[in-house]
Amino acid sequence: MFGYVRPFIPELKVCENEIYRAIYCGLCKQLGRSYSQLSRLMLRYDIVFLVLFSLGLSEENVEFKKQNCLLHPLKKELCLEKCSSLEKAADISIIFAYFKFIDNVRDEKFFKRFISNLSLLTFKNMFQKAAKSQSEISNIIENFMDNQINLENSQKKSIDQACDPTAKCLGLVAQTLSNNPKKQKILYRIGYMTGRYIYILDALDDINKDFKSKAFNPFLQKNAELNAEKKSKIFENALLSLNFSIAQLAESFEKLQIEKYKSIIKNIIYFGLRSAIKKVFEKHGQPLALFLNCCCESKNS
Amino acid sequence: MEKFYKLLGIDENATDSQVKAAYIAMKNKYDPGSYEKEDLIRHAEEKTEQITQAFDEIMNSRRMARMKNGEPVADDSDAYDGANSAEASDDYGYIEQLIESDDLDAAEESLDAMPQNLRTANWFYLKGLIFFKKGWLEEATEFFSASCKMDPKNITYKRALEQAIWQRSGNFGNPNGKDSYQSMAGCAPGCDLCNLCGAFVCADCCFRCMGGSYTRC
Repeated sequence: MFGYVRPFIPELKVCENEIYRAIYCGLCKQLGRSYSQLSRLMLRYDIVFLVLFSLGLSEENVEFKKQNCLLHPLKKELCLEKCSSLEKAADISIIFAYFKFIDNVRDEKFFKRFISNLSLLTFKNMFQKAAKSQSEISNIIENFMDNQINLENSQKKSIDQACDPTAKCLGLVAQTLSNNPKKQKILYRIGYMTGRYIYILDALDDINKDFKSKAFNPFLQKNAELNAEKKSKIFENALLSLNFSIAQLAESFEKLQIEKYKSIIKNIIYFGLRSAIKKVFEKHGQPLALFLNCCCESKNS
Repeated sequence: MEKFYKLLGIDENATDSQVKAAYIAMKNKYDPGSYEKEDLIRHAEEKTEQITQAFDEIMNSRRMARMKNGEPVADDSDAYDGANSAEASDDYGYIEQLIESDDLDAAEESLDAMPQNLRTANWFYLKGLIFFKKGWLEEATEFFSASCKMDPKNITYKRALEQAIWQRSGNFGNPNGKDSYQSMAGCAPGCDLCNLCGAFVCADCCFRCMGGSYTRC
């Protein structure tokens, strides 16, 4: 789930890129402040996407300041100062990470399982703290885990069914960003479509790994072979679903009244998501010719 | 009269139930409640008013025509499609209301309870609409396509399917582009390679007039 929801940098203005990085740095620092230095490893791009919405919708005044960082100690970088959006996002990052470890303990074998068990122990206190301040979100994600397990054990699964738990979970999390029922409805759809996109792309990306380890993957039937022809067919069909999800995401986003950070979010929806699709497809030997439909594509691909 | 039909996106030969379906679909589309921006809400309200007016005008004129021809006039205009489907379309009206008020589970339950022999193209369309609202886009596409196969002339079903195909092939908004929110972020309009080349050739011509050249030839 890492890095599927990122901006397409060549299409960002320089100042927008700076702001995006400042929010990213801000979240990283917030994780360090709220929890521990170790928890900064749990930084995720999809949570930064959430922060963009949360900042865009909130009335809170935020400040950006130049600060030093462990990763680039010599140069001071612009960084978003402490604010309620970041605090919430840091809690959500920890909750997501904790449940991801639980999932790993269930799925993985031997060494990785051991590592995940170890991480569960280290993160337990942090999780309890996060779940206390964000009990609603912690319940949503716990529910999602149950649904996911039920789904993987059930017999009949279509792509829509397989996406549903993840998509619903992100939809409900996105919904918590506003108190206005109209906005909540739109945010739910935005979250749902983002979740759908992430789930499908993640499943595609893992297809070889899951085939080898015989793990659950919505694109693989039980005991079926995976040859090159079949694989390209799977990718071809999945692309249609991905496109449809992104277009629906864009349609909902255009209905949402949000003033701040709009251009960065637009960049992610219209270019960033597709650039991530392109990367995954190329990684699996399914190149997509001129796909982003923008000025930068021919220069950067 | 023609403009009213145009507004609903149907032709004058459409049956009463098709007019009704088109009216409901358009009303759903322009439901002011689903927009947030003020100018969009205003636009949606205007549209809703126009659509309602068009629907009333069409229905009234049809009723008048029937009275002139001495046909019986019932309150429920669907009664003309035969007893069986009239019963079914009543149910559909109720289900449409459920879908409109976002009570998708109840709508799906009522649809599934309908016996196989009454499942018309509208049944498949509504089922698709429920899936679409739920976010199950694959199933939605399949049901829209089934409804189009059963009734290829219906403009509402056709539009739903066309939009799904359009967005699945990597586009945003609608195929006819009129009501789409197509706003490719950050990209100047028409900023593609062809235009770039065209602009370059133009610039080169101008430059040559002044005695220089971008190209060697």
